[in-house]
Amino acid sequence: MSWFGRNRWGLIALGPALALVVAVSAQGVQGTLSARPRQAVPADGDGWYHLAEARLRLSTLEHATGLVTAAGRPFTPATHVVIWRAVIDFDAANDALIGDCQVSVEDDLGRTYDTDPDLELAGSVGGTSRGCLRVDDSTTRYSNAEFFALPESAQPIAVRVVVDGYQPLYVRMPRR
Amino acid sequence: MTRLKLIGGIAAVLVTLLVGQALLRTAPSADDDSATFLVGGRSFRPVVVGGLAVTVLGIRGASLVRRPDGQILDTGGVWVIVDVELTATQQTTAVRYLALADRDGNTYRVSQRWHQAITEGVPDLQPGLPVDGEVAFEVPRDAATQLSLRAGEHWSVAVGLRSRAVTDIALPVERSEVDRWVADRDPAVLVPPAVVL
Repeated sequence: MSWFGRNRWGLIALGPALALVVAVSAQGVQGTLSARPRQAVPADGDGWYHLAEARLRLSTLEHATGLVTAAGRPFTPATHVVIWRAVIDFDAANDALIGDCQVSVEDDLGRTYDTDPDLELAGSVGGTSRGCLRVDDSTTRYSNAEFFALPESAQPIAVRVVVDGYQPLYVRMPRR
Repeated sequence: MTRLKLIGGIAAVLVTLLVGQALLRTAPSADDDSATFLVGGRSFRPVVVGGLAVTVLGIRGASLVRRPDGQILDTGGVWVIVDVELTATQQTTAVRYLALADRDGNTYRVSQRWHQAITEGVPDLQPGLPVDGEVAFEVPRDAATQLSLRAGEHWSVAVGLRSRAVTDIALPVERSEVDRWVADRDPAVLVPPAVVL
Protein backbone atom coordinates (compact mmCIF):
# COMPACT_ATOMS: atom_id res chain seq x y z
CA MET A 1 0.00 0.00 0.00
CA SER A 2 1.32 3.46 -0.89
CA TRP A 3 2.08 6.22 1.68
CA PHE A 4 -1.06 8.12 0.61
CA GLY A 5 -3.12 4.98 1.01
CA ARG A 6 -1.77 4.31 4.50
CA ASN A 7 -2.33 7.92 5.62
CA ARG A 8 -5.56 8.73 3.81
CA TRP A 9 -7.62 9.24 7.00
CA GLY A 10 -5.01 11.52 8.45
CA LEU A 11 -4.90 13.52 5.23
CA ILE A 12 -8.69 13.74 5.13
CA ALA A 13 -8.79 14.99 8.74
CA LEU A 14 -6.02 17.53 8.11
CA GLY A 15 -8.24 19.85 6.04
CA PRO A 16 -11.03 20.31 8.62
CA ALA A 17 -8.45 20.62 11.43
CA LEU A 18 -6.65 23.42 9.60
CA ALA A 19 -9.96 25.13 8.82
CA LEU A 20 -10.91 24.95 12.50
CA VAL A 21 -7.62 26.51 13.63
CA VAL A 22 -7.97 29.33 11.07
CA ALA A 23 -11.60 29.94 12.09
CA VAL A 24 -10.76 30.13 15.81
CA SER A 25 -7.85 32.50 15.12
CA ALA A 26 -9.98 34.63 12.83
CA GLN A 27 -12.64 34.95 15.54
CA GLY A 28 -10.03 36.32 17.95
CA VAL A 29 -8.70 38.77 15.36
CA GLN A 30 -12.23 39.79 14.41
CA GLY A 31 -13.13 40.36 18.05
CA THR A 32 -10.12 42.63 18.52
CA LEU A 33 -10.81 44.53 15.32
CA SER A 34 -14.50 44.99 15.99
CA ALA A 35 -13.73 46.63 19.34
CA ARG A 36 -11.85 49.41 17.55
CA PRO A 37 -13.63 52.40 16.06
CA ARG A 38 -12.55 52.18 12.44
CA GLN A 39 -15.66 52.72 10.33
CA ALA A 40 -16.91 56.30 10.27
CA VAL A 41 -20.63 56.60 9.60
CA PRO A 42 -21.57 58.92 6.71
CA ALA A 43 -23.52 62.15 7.15
CA ASP A 44 -27.05 62.41 5.78
CA GLY A 45 -28.17 65.17 3.44
CA ASP A 46 -28.72 67.58 6.32
CA GLY A 47 -25.28 67.01 7.84
CA TRP A 48 -26.46 64.74 10.67
CA TYR A 49 -24.60 61.57 11.65
CA HIS A 50 -26.68 58.61 12.87
CA LEU A 51 -25.41 56.32 15.62
CA ALA A 52 -26.97 54.54 18.62
CA GLU A 53 -30.47 55.57 17.56
CA ALA A 54 -29.49 59.22 17.79
CA ARG A 55 -28.54 62.01 15.41
CA LEU A 56 -25.61 64.30 16.07
CA ARG A 57 -23.69 67.01 14.27
CA LEU A 58 -20.86 69.39 15.01
CA SER A 59 -22.19 72.85 15.64
CA THR A 60 -18.97 74.76 16.40
CA LEU A 61 -15.31 74.06 17.11
CA GLU A 62 -13.44 77.17 18.24
CA HIS A 63 -11.15 78.65 20.88
CA ALA A 64 -12.81 78.43 24.27
CA THR A 65 -13.29 81.96 25.49
CA GLY A 66 -14.98 83.06 28.65
CA LEU A 67 -13.42 80.51 31.01
CA VAL A 68 -12.82 81.96 34.46
CA THR A 69 -11.07 81.00 37.66
CA ALA A 70 -12.90 80.22 40.89
CA ALA A 71 -12.28 83.83 41.88
CA GLY A 72 -14.07 85.03 38.75
CA ARG A 73 -10.98 86.26 36.93
CA PRO A 74 -10.30 85.32 33.29
CA PHE A 75 -8.61 81.91 33.08
CA THR A 76 -5.32 81.84 31.20
CA PRO A 77 -3.95 78.44 30.16
CA ALA A 78 -0.22 77.62 30.20
CA THR A 79 1.97 79.22 27.55
CA HIS A 80 1.57 77.69 24.09
CA VAL A 81 -1.55 75.77 25.19
CA VAL A 82 -4.89 76.53 23.52
CA ILE A 83 -8.21 75.41 24.99
CA TRP A 84 -10.79 74.47 22.32
CA ARG A 85 -14.52 74.07 22.75
CA ALA A 86 -16.64 71.86 20.51
CA VAL A 87 -20.41 72.14 20.64
CA ILE A 88 -22.27 69.06 19.44
CA ASP A 89 -25.99 69.05 18.63
CA PHE A 90 -27.87 65.89 19.57
CA ASP A 91 -31.29 64.57 18.68
CA ALA A 92 -31.88 61.48 20.80
CA ALA A 93 -35.17 60.12 22.08
CA ASN A 94 -33.30 57.68 24.32
CA ASP A 95 -30.02 59.31 25.31
CA ALA A 96 -29.12 56.34 27.52
CA LEU A 97 -28.09 54.49 24.35
CA ILE A 98 -25.57 57.15 23.41
CA GLY A 99 -24.66 58.12 26.97
CA ASP A 100 -21.61 55.86 27.28
CA CYS A 101 -19.57 57.77 24.73
CA GLN A 102 -16.03 59.06 24.36
CA VAL A 103 -15.55 62.36 22.58
CA SER A 104 -12.16 63.35 21.20
CA VAL A 105 -10.74 65.88 18.81
CA GLU A 106 -8.37 65.03 15.97
CA ASP A 107 -5.61 67.42 14.90
CA ASP A 108 -3.90 67.97 11.56
CA LEU A 109 -1.23 65.38 12.45
CA GLY A 110 -3.80 62.68 13.21
CA ARG A 111 -3.30 62.91 16.97
CA THR A 112 -6.36 62.62 19.21
CA TYR A 113 -7.14 64.48 22.41
CA ASP A 114 -9.67 63.41 25.06
CA THR A 115 -12.04 65.83 26.73
CA ASP A 116 -11.45 67.57 30.05
CA PRO A 117 -7.65 67.76 30.29
CA ASP A 118 -7.33 67.99 34.06
CA LEU A 119 -3.89 69.56 34.25
CA GLU A 120 -4.36 72.10 31.44
CA LEU A 121 -7.74 73.22 32.81
CA ALA A 122 -6.71 73.16 36.49
CA GLY A 123 -7.94 76.32 38.20
CA SER A 124 -10.68 77.05 35.70
CA VAL A 125 -14.44 76.99 36.13
CA GLY A 126 -16.94 76.12 33.43
CA GLY A 127 -14.63 73.90 31.40
CA THR A 128 -16.33 70.60 32.17
CA SER A 129 -17.54 68.54 29.23
CA ARG A 130 -21.00 67.02 29.19
CA GLY A 131 -20.29 64.03 27.00
CA CYS A 132 -23.40 62.82 25.18
CA LEU A 133 -26.07 62.80 27.89
CA ARG A 134 -28.76 65.47 27.96
CA VAL A 135 -29.31 67.59 31.03
CA ASP A 136 -32.93 68.57 30.35
CA ASP A 137 -35.19 65.52 29.90
CA SER A 138 -38.06 67.58 28.49
CA THR A 139 -36.59 67.76 24.99
CA THR A 140 -34.96 65.32 22.59
CA ARG A 141 -32.86 68.08 20.98
CA TYR A 142 -29.95 69.36 23.02
CA SER A 143 -26.40 70.68 22.62
CA ASN A 144 -23.36 69.78 24.70
CA ALA A 145 -20.01 71.55 24.97
CA GLU A 146 -16.75 69.58 25.10
CA PHE A 147 -13.34 71.01 26.06
CA PHE A 148 -9.89 70.04 24.81
CA ALA A 149 -6.30 71.26 25.24
CA LEU A 150 -4.00 71.37 22.21
CA PRO A 151 -0.56 72.81 21.56
CA GLU A 152 -0.91 76.15 19.77
CA SER A 153 0.93 74.63 16.80
CA ALA A 154 -1.85 72.05 16.28
CA GLN A 155 -5.02 72.64 14.29
CA PRO A 156 -8.11 70.60 15.16
CA ILE A 157 -9.71 69.18 12.05
CA ALA A 158 -12.48 66.88 13.32
CA VAL A 159 -14.40 65.73 16.36
CA ARG A 160 -14.87 62.02 16.95
CA VAL A 161 -17.57 60.31 18.98
CA VAL A 162 -17.25 56.64 19.90
CA VAL A 163 -20.23 55.00 21.62
CA ASP A 164 -19.48 51.94 23.69
CA GLY A 165 -21.12 48.88 22.18
CA TYR A 166 -21.37 50.30 18.65
CA GLN A 167 -17.78 49.83 17.49
CA PRO A 168 -16.41 49.51 14.86
CA LEU A 169 -18.84 52.29 13.90
CA TYR A 170 -18.04 55.79 15.12
CA VAL A 171 -18.82 59.38 14.16
CA ARG A 172 -16.16 61.63 12.66
CA MET A 173 -17.37 65.18 12.17
CA PRO A 174 -14.95 67.38 10.20
CA ARG A 175 -14.54 71.00 11.18
CA ARG A 176 -16.31 73.26 8.69
CA MET B 1 15.36 -7.82 7.95
CA THR B 2 12.34 -7.72 10.30
CA ARG B 3 14.65 -7.25 13.30
CA LEU B 4 16.43 -4.43 11.45
CA LYS B 5 13.08 -2.71 10.78
CA LEU B 6 12.10 -3.09 14.42
CA ILE B 7 15.36 -1.56 15.66
CA GLY B 8 15.05 1.21 13.09
CA GLY B 9 11.50 1.95 14.21
CA ILE B 10 12.47 2.10 17.87
CA ALA B 11 15.42 4.34 17.00
CA ALA B 12 13.14 6.66 15.00
CA VAL B 13 10.72 6.95 17.93
CA LEU B 14 13.56 7.64 20.38
CA VAL B 15 15.09 10.28 18.11
CA THR B 16 11.66 11.93 17.72
CA LEU B 17 11.18 12.02 21.49
CA LEU B 18 14.67 13.44 22.02
CA VAL B 19 14.16 16.12 19.38
CA GLY B 20 10.78 16.96 20.93
CA GLN B 21 12.34 17.30 24.38
CA ALA B 22 15.10 19.50 22.98
CA LEU B 23 12.54 21.74 21.31
CA LEU B 24 10.45 21.96 24.48
CA ARG B 25 13.50 22.96 26.51
CA THR B 26 14.51 25.70 24.10
CA ALA B 27 10.98 27.01 23.50
CA PRO B 28 9.98 30.10 25.49
CA SER B 29 7.99 29.41 28.64
CA ALA B 30 4.69 31.08 29.49
CA ASP B 31 6.70 33.49 31.66
CA ASP B 32 8.94 34.35 28.71
CA ASP B 33 5.91 34.91 26.48
CA SER B 34 4.50 37.51 28.84
CA ALA B 35 7.74 39.10 30.00
CA THR B 36 7.84 42.85 30.25
CA PHE B 37 9.53 44.44 27.27
CA LEU B 38 12.13 46.74 28.77
CA VAL B 39 13.20 49.74 26.73
CA GLY B 40 16.56 50.91 28.03
CA GLY B 41 17.71 54.49 28.14
CA ARG B 42 19.64 57.18 29.97
CA SER B 43 18.71 60.31 31.84
CA PHE B 44 18.01 63.48 29.84
CA ARG B 45 17.05 61.47 26.76
CA PRO B 46 13.44 60.59 25.94
CA VAL B 47 12.60 56.91 26.06
CA VAL B 48 9.50 55.98 24.10
CA VAL B 49 7.26 53.14 25.27
CA GLY B 50 4.10 52.74 23.20
CA GLY B 51 2.46 56.15 22.94
CA LEU B 52 4.41 57.63 25.83
CA ALA B 53 7.79 59.42 25.94
CA VAL B 54 9.55 59.48 29.33
CA THR B 55 12.55 61.66 30.10
CA VAL B 56 14.36 61.67 33.44
CA LEU B 57 15.48 65.23 34.12
CA GLY B 58 16.89 64.84 37.62
CA ILE B 59 17.18 62.76 40.78
CA ARG B 60 17.34 63.84 44.38
CA GLY B 61 16.54 62.27 47.70
CA ALA B 62 15.43 63.01 51.22
CA SER B 63 14.76 61.44 54.58
CA LEU B 64 11.55 63.44 54.98
CA VAL B 65 8.87 64.57 52.54
CA ARG B 66 6.35 67.33 53.17
CA ARG B 67 2.92 66.62 51.70
CA PRO B 68 0.90 69.46 50.13
CA ASP B 69 -1.27 69.52 53.27
CA GLY B 70 1.84 70.18 55.38
CA GLN B 71 2.15 66.74 56.97
CA ILE B 72 5.70 65.41 57.09
CA LEU B 73 6.37 61.79 56.16
CA ASP B 74 9.37 59.89 57.58
CA THR B 75 10.78 56.67 56.21
CA GLY B 76 12.96 53.82 57.41
CA GLY B 77 14.58 53.83 53.98
CA VAL B 78 15.04 56.88 51.82
CA TRP B 79 12.81 58.94 49.58
CA VAL B 80 14.03 58.93 46.00
CA ILE B 81 12.53 61.85 44.10
CA VAL B 82 12.64 61.72 40.30
CA ASP B 83 12.03 64.72 38.06
CA VAL B 84 10.33 63.37 34.95
CA GLU B 85 8.99 64.81 31.73
CA LEU B 86 6.08 62.86 30.28
CA THR B 87 4.64 63.33 26.80
CA ALA B 88 1.87 61.57 24.90
CA THR B 89 2.95 61.02 21.32
CA GLN B 90 -0.25 60.12 19.48
CA GLN B 91 -3.31 60.17 21.70
CA THR B 92 -4.32 61.10 25.22
CA THR B 93 -2.73 58.66 27.61
CA ALA B 94 -1.27 58.43 31.13
CA VAL B 95 1.50 56.68 33.00
CA ARG B 96 -0.38 53.74 34.47
CA TYR B 97 2.62 51.84 35.81
CA LEU B 98 5.33 53.76 37.65
CA ALA B 99 8.02 52.11 39.74
CA LEU B 100 11.71 51.86 40.52
CA ALA B 101 13.45 48.52 40.09
CA ASP B 102 16.68 47.40 41.72
CA ARG B 103 19.24 44.94 40.40
CA ASP B 104 17.80 42.07 42.45
CA GLY B 105 14.48 42.31 40.63
CA ASN B 106 12.61 44.09 43.42
CA THR B 107 10.25 46.86 42.35
CA TYR B 108 9.08 49.82 44.40
CA ARG B 109 5.87 51.35 43.12
CA VAL B 110 5.29 55.08 43.29
CA SER B 111 4.46 55.94 46.90
CA GLN B 112 0.78 55.76 47.74
CA ARG B 113 1.21 57.23 51.23
CA TRP B 114 -0.45 60.35 49.86
CA HIS B 115 -2.06 61.23 46.57
CA GLN B 116 0.83 62.50 44.49
CA ALA B 117 0.14 64.89 41.63
CA ILE B 118 2.01 62.50 39.35
CA THR B 119 1.14 58.90 40.04
CA GLU B 120 -0.24 55.86 38.24
CA GLY B 121 -3.09 57.10 36.04
CA VAL B 122 -2.60 60.79 36.79
CA PRO B 123 -2.36 63.23 35.10
CA ASP B 124 -3.85 62.76 31.66
CA LEU B 125 -1.23 63.53 29.03
CA GLN B 126 -2.24 65.34 25.86
CA PRO B 127 -0.24 64.83 22.64
CA GLY B 128 2.45 67.44 22.14
CA LEU B 129 2.02 68.93 25.64
CA PRO B 130 4.92 67.70 27.81
CA VAL B 131 4.29 67.57 31.55
CA ASP B 132 7.23 68.08 33.91
CA GLY B 133 7.13 67.34 37.64
CA GLU B 134 8.54 65.32 40.51
CA VAL B 135 7.42 61.96 41.84
CA ALA B 136 8.55 60.22 45.04
CA PHE B 137 9.41 56.58 45.74
CA GLU B 138 10.20 55.03 49.12
CA VAL B 139 13.07 52.54 48.82
CA PRO B 140 15.56 50.75 51.10
CA ARG B 141 18.80 52.71 51.49
CA ASP B 142 20.92 49.85 50.19
CA ALA B 143 18.91 49.73 46.96
CA ALA B 144 19.09 53.45 46.22
CA THR B 145 22.35 53.23 44.28
CA GLN B 146 21.17 50.62 41.79
CA LEU B 147 17.78 51.79 40.60
CA SER B 148 16.12 52.20 37.24
CA LEU B 149 12.85 53.92 36.39
CA ARG B 150 10.09 51.65 35.09
CA ALA B 151 7.24 53.58 33.50
CA GLY B 152 4.63 52.42 31.05
CA GLU B 153 1.13 53.02 29.75
CA HIS B 154 -0.39 49.79 31.02
CA TRP B 155 -1.42 49.13 34.60
CA SER B 156 -1.53 45.40 33.84
CA VAL B 157 2.25 45.26 34.29
CA ALA B 158 1.67 45.57 38.02
CA VAL B 159 -0.59 42.53 38.23
CA GLY B 160 1.53 40.20 36.17
CA LEU B 161 -0.23 40.56 32.83
CA ARG B 162 2.93 41.98 31.38
CA SER B 163 3.80 41.71 27.67
CA ARG B 164 4.04 45.48 27.62
CA ALA B 165 6.74 48.02 26.95
CA VAL B 166 8.20 49.64 30.05
CA THR B 167 11.14 52.01 30.40
CA ASP B 168 14.36 50.89 32.03
CA ILE B 169 16.17 54.16 32.68
CA ALA B 170 19.18 53.84 34.97
CA LEU B 171 19.30 56.42 37.77
CA PRO B 172 22.93 57.27 38.59
CA VAL B 173 23.15 57.69 42.36
CA GLU B 174 26.32 57.46 44.47
CA ARG B 175 26.50 55.99 47.97
CA SER B 176 27.71 59.34 49.32
CA GLU B 177 24.59 61.03 47.89
CA VAL B 178 22.31 58.58 49.70
CA ASP B 179 24.21 59.21 52.97
CA ARG B 180 23.75 62.94 52.48
CA TRP B 181 20.02 62.52 51.76
CA VAL B 182 19.53 60.45 54.91
CA ALA B 183 21.42 62.92 57.08
CA ASP B 184 19.44 65.91 55.79
CA ARG B 185 16.38 66.41 58.04
CA ASP B 186 14.96 69.24 55.95
CA PRO B 187 11.69 67.93 54.44
CA ALA B 188 11.61 67.82 50.65
CA VAL B 189 8.72 69.47 48.83
CA LEU B 190 7.88 67.97 45.46
CA VAL B 191 7.65 70.21 42.39
CA PRO B 192 4.07 69.90 41.10
CA PRO B 193 3.47 68.92 37.45
CA ALA B 194 3.20 71.66 34.88
CA VAL B 195 2.88 71.80 31.11
CA VAL B 196 6.22 72.89 29.69
CA LEU B 197 6.46 73.95 26.08
